[in-house]
Amino acid sequence: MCRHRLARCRRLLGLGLGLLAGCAPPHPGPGGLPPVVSPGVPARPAPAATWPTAPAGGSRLPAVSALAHRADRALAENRPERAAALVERALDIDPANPWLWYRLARIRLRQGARAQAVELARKARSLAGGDRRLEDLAGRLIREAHRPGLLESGPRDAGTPTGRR
Amino acid sequence: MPTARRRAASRRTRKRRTGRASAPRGSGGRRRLRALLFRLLLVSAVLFAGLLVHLDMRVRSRFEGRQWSLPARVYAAPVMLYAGRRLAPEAFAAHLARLGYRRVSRVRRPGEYARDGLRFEVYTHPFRFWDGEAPAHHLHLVFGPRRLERLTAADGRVLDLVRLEPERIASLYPGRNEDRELVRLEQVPTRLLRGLLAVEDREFLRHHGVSLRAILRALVADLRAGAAVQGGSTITQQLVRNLFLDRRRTLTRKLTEALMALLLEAHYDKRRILETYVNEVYLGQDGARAIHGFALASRFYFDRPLKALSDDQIALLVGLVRGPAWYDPFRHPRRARARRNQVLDVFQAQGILTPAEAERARRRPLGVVRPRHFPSNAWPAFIDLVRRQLLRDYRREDLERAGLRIFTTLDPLRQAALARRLPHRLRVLERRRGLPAGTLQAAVIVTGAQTGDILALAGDRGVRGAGFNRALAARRPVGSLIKPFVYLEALAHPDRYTLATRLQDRPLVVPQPDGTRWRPQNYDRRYRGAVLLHDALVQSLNVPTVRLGLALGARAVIDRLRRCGLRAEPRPWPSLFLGAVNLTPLEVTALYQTLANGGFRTRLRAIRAVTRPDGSALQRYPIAVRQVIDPRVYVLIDQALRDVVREGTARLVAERFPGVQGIAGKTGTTDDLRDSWFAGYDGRTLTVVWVGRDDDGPTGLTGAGGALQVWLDLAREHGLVARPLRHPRGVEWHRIDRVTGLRAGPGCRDVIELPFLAGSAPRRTAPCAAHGADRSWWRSLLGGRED
Repeated sequence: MCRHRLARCRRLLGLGLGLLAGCAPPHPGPGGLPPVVSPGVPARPAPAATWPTAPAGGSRLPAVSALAHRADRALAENRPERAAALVERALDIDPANPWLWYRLARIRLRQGARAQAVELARKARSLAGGDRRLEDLAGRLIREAHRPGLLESGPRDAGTPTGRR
Repeated sequence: MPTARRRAASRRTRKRRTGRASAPRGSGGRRRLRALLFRLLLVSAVLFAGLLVHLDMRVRSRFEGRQWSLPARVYAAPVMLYAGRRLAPEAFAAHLARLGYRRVSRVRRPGEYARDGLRFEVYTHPFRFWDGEAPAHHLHLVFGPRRLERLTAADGRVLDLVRLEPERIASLYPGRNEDRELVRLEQVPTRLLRGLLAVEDREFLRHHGVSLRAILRALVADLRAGAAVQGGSTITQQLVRNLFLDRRRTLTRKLTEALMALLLEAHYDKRRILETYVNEVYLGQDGARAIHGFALASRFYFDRPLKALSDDQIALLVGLVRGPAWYDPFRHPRRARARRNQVLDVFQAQGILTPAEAERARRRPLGVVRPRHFPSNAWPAFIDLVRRQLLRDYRREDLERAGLRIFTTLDPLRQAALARRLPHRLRVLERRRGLPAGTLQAAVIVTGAQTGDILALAGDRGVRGAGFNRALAARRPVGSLIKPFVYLEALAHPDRYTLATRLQDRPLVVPQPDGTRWRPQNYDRRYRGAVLLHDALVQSLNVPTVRLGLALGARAVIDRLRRCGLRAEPRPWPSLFLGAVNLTPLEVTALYQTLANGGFRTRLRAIRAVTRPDGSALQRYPIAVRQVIDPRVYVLIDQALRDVVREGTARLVAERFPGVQGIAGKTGTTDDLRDSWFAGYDGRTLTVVWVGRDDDGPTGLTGAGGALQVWLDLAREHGLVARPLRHPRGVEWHRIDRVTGLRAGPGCRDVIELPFLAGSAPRRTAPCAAHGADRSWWRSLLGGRED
């Protein structure tokens, strides 16, 4: 009897956890960034290899998720300039995708270009289209960038051309 | 003094005296002549030494400094291929043709494609981009009528994304349009080097710059033929001629050439000289572009790298050295083939090829492919902008000689469409207005709405023309295009102005700084009493705008314009509020970019990156944005500009594209219909169009009648992308009675829903609302249905 009750409890617990998992935010990809989702398209869990994405029209573009995925990998390998180039290529395809702008903000913050990171995060937020998660992340990034003492020795701001004159 | 010595001295003196007195005249002249000759010789020797030193300095400075003048190569943005992208198969085929792809029945090598209706098979070229290498891809593409539906590799794998190599749109040359691809000697096939020496200079490894044997042999050949048929120049002499001298056949030049060749050989080894020759030799012409060096010639004639050349192709290139124009394989294929076979005979005689190999090569066709034409400047107006931006960061010398590779933002498909559409539309407008053909001029700039990338640009109605670049240099009054910034300044003060504020549209007299009186009027010369601020902008009413501007102050409006991207400093006169300020289309674009980009000021970008010739990165121009409009205030001005397109002066857009939401823009027209402007944007691009006349005469065109028509042509070509409505916190929407500017109720007939900053909406309800409530109460009482 007691064993039956225990099994039932386990099943209920399992069901509860399953439901909770269903309500969980999208599965973060490598580097801890959320999936690339266009405005108006709800974020949803994605397999690690392909991240869901969609242009403003609603159809999903694997090209953008592939580029975003590669950008995340480049950032994880500490190659921020390469990551930025990949995100800019993705923006050529899907320029109003707020997650791409957020990624660019993250990259600039990593590079120490705090002012530009803040602006890019604002840009991401302005395109978020009610995506609370993205708005929160962008807000967090802006606060992080304003924190005194952060990355004081970073390179100069990305708002100006890089490289030699 | 002893006697003997005295006598002897006296004899010598006498002898000298008598000699002078009695010697015949001829003897003295000879001596003088000898002395003169001696002096002349001395002077000549000094001069010669000076000449030698001078020549030596020339030879060494050229060789030890940078030897090559490598033009900067300017590339358009690459066309990206991915399933789902909007791309018509015809536009794709045209792009492949511009890239120099050859249509074949069976695709085997890079640069070839096959087409079967909507299906393409393409073998792309590998390319080194500024951000990495793109390998060659063998692709299969399936198109719909306007879209790429499917993209797979030849082995059937589905591909997410492929970048085609970019179109080379210009080369920046210093003076002579020399183009080349540098190679090291070890990268050159041995057969080419051996063949070259066998044909051009068999003594190369033995002589010191000049070969007497070769000169004699040439002399004999010339005497036998009775004309100059064979050259006696060594490779070193040829190199000297190419690098330092002109093509005249004078004795002085020949001597200088020989001297410089000797000096060159004295200073540098044979490897260095041969390598320089291989890169320097002139081998053909592509329009204004001169093809120098074997590596570039290999690409130009055969579309393949040097190392992939076959024996017959090597022989053709070696044969071309003697006369690239005379043996031009495209224009004179027979002559070229005969020359190639002659060279193959030499190869065989010198043991470079076996008889069987030579015979096989002789039997082959010429094998040249239509050269990929690289225009020296395909889009002059855009290149003008690129050059201006580059000159901020680079010296002109580096720009034109250092072989930089410049990656721009130009979208080749949009630019090609603009070049096709613009002249046609202007011809139609001229016909409609009864203007003589060629009267109208135009400038168009298309940018990425979010990124600020310049995607297409026209500075003249003939987009390929290199004349006056109106997009960058023509300063014209902007008319009503200025108005959104006046209204933006007002809406930034929600305590004073909202979209529902009523503005007076009644006669107005404004005293001017010069003492005159200005009486602004609306376009239709009517007055409407009082209008909503929203409607005044949407209908582009002049009088309420001037009243609003006067209340705000010209200084505040100018500050607003400058925050939004204006660099000029207009005079703070009231006529500014109606656009009496001269701006270039590029300056207008910078201003509207801020509106198109959600209130973020964005640097307009024509260049993405610059690399060295080897592909290593030199400079990046990243996307940069700055928020300059409060996101809540942005929603207000954006709503008004959306309504300009929905129901205002640009409603033609909504009529033509009824299903696309959120398109915004503003028309502009100046006095006597001299300038016709439209700046409009969708979710993807901002396009600014100016149409007018160079002589400043009237065009008969309003902003909607002229510039907007060009804008619509481009929209039809590329489609429009909707702009979703933004809902930032702190903005609320209310239904407003258009007559009173108060909150509407069920009884109000003329109602509009408008956004307000939280707390700024009118609190009072319009009288019609109550009236409607009464009516609704009666209807419910009578059992009627409420509408």
